[in-house]
Amino acid sequence: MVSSKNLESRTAAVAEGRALERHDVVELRSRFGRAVRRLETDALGEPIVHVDPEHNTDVLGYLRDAQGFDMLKDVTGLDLGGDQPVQVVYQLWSTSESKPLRVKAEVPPDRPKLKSAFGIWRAANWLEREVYDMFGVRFEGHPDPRRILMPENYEEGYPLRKGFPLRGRFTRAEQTRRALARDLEDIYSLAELEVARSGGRGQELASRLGQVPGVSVSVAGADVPDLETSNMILNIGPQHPATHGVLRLVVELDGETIVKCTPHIGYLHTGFEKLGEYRTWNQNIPLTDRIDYLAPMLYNIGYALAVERLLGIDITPRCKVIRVICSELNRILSHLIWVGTTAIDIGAFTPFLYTFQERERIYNLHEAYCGARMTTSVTRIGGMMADVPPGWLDGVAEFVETFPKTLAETERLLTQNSIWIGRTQGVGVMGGADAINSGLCGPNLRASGVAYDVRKDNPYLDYETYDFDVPIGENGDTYDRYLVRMEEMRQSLRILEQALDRVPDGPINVSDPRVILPPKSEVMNSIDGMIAHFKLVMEGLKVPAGEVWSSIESSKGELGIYLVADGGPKPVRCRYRAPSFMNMSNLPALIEGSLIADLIAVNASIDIVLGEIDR
Amino acid sequence: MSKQDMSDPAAQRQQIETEIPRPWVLARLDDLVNWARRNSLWPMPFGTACCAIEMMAAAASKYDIARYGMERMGYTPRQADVMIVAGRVSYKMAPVMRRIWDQMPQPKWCISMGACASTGGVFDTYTLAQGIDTVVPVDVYVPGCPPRPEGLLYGLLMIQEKIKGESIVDPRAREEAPEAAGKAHLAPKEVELIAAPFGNSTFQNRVSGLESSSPIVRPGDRKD
Ligand code: SF4
Repeated sequence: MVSSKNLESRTAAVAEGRALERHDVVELRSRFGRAVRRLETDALGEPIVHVDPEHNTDVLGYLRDAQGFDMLKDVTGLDLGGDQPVQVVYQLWSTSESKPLRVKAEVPPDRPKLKSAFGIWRAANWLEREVYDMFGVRFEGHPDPRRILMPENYEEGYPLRKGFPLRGRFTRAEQTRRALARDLEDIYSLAELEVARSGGRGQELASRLGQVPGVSVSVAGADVPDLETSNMILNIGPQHPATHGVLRLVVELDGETIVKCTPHIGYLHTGFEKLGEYRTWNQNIPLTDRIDYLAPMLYNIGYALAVERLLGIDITPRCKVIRVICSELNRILSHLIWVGTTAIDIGAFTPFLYTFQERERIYNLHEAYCGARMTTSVTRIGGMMADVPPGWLDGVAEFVETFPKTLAETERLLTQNSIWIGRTQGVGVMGGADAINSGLCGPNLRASGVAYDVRKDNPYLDYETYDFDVPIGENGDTYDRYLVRMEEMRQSLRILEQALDRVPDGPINVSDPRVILPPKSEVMNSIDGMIAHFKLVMEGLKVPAGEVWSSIESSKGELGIYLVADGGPKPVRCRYRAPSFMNMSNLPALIEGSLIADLIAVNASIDIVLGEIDR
Repeated sequence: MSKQDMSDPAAQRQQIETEIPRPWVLARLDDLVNWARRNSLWPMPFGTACCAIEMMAAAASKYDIARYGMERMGYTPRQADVMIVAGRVSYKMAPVMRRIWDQMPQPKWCISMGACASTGGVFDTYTLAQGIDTVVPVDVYVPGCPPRPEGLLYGLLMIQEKIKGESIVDPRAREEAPEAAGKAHLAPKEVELIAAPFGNSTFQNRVSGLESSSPIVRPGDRKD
């Protein structure tokens, strides 16, 4: 009999052997020696490199410069509880070689500290802030090391640490009291308060000139040679019709020019990731569609795929095609609301009515399939909640046939519209290399000329067998982001047509009793069926220990789901790398230096959904 | 307001009605004012999450909230009558919501749209207020996750129904209360009660001041 310790080290050795097969990992090890502490593989056989926390930025910098890992997809934390170290996880991607790499650094739970990767990838900016906010890991050299989702003076601790209770440390009454007692100054950064206060100089000046204090100073510059001007702080949101939810932007203005723009997020923070650790694998599905409620099925599918990859099961061919149909319908659904609301922001109301009309038709399809208009919860691990109802595919076919007409009408309203062009062309520009480095994703990244699409670059659900193009823009401005989304809807229609042609017959769910409930006839008639049913219902699905970082192309960009299992019925870590979060972190770079009026257009153009940003 | 009063709004209303003599003229005046108020409700859409999308759908062409004279969404609280809180409200957002409520002039009403706004929904987590009624008074709760647009429209009709029963001399309902600005609507003990698992669904009627949770039946409603 082998002792468990022995077994552990043996499996570790096997895992290390597999990871070592990749030449980049071999190179890394030979170059950094002891700084690379150990190697592992995840459920997909992808290498995980554990590095010495002292040398994290050396290794990461080398990976970017010498090995072409130009994209930082995710930085997150992982706390396994007890005195075990907190792990900080970097998920990298090389666009030239289309391969992933995961780097981990372990830090002690009591005084976690690391060097910031901001100097290597600007994408690390908000991601590291979130790790600090949720796990308390401090990043040295980070330009803005504040909390991001929780209020800045939040005192209850770091929510995603295992010791933190789901409902928080304080009582509900105390939480309510603290929330309402928060005063205005708490919600501005020190720098912002400083700018706002320096605006007080006007008063000083007024009294110097012998005017009545309190009356605004309106002196022509010529009379007063040393007239000082100061920047103004303008707060937009969190309740503002043009922020698409509960986003709050604080902008520093010099006249009408934006000097600095700071998005404040977290007003919709719901705790999906924490809650995910308290729900069984299947119970998490209804939570996922409430994260991105503009394209709920995409999240359902992304999550189910991630768990299936972790389990190592292959879904049925019919399920794959049905999921593709659902994905593309939801991509259209989400792009439609984007066109409608963005047009309202820029001043055109009609497209909103057109696009909502079409959305209603997709909602009807949702409703026919799963009974809900928006909160679909349509997938199950190992399949779907049910097979599609009779006639549903015809409904989709009818939509595919008639939708192009509305699409063309909407385009006719906007594409050549001179106001639309004037407001969007050349506004909020970002080049391709910058966009990759700073983590822009989805249609925004493609508008900047980078043809990166998970459906092509790391295909899932057999997307490689569909014939479709990835539209890219030339200028990376707001207008291109619009064009790319319009074209994507057309491509989605193409995929839908092909998918409808090939929907195979056969079961929708895998027939694995560990994963999917057996059919009722079996449950009622055989003891095996009954036991399987009982176990699944009472204990929940069991997922073997391991971890996976799986991603799909959602309507907003790359949706990454990082799951860690310990063999139990619930995830240990359930991380959603939200594309809108990454896009939003780029708003300052897109807007600084432009006019205040462009802020609304640019903010609308990056297609955010706050549910996903704040999670 | 004493606790006794809060727990029995029916008795309270009874008391007000008997205390205030309502001659014929006053009663007719009430009718006139209420008619005017209830047919030009200006919503203040306080949409945060998924429910807000259904609120937008209610304003779009298929459901068309304009049929009830309510399409004028007042994005400024100072020109609005009904605050529709649609979606999850976190503790970070709660003071913002309270401030917006405080900025709305009387008479004003509040609709809590969806499970999250009403009770915290499925999110019994460290960050979500377990029901907005801990922070602001709520007149109508619309159930659902999300409620369908029809549900929201029905909620607005219930507000109209509620207005019908009001009196311009009722001091309880329509007085500005500057001293309450920025404060929680419920006492800490009641917040605890409500935030306990299943608490809100049990105690909601009392908080809302509604006499029962059964729907208000309108003359034209189908009975089955
Ligand atoms: S009630 Fe449901 S639909 Fe509404 S905000 Fe909450 S989770 Fe979203």
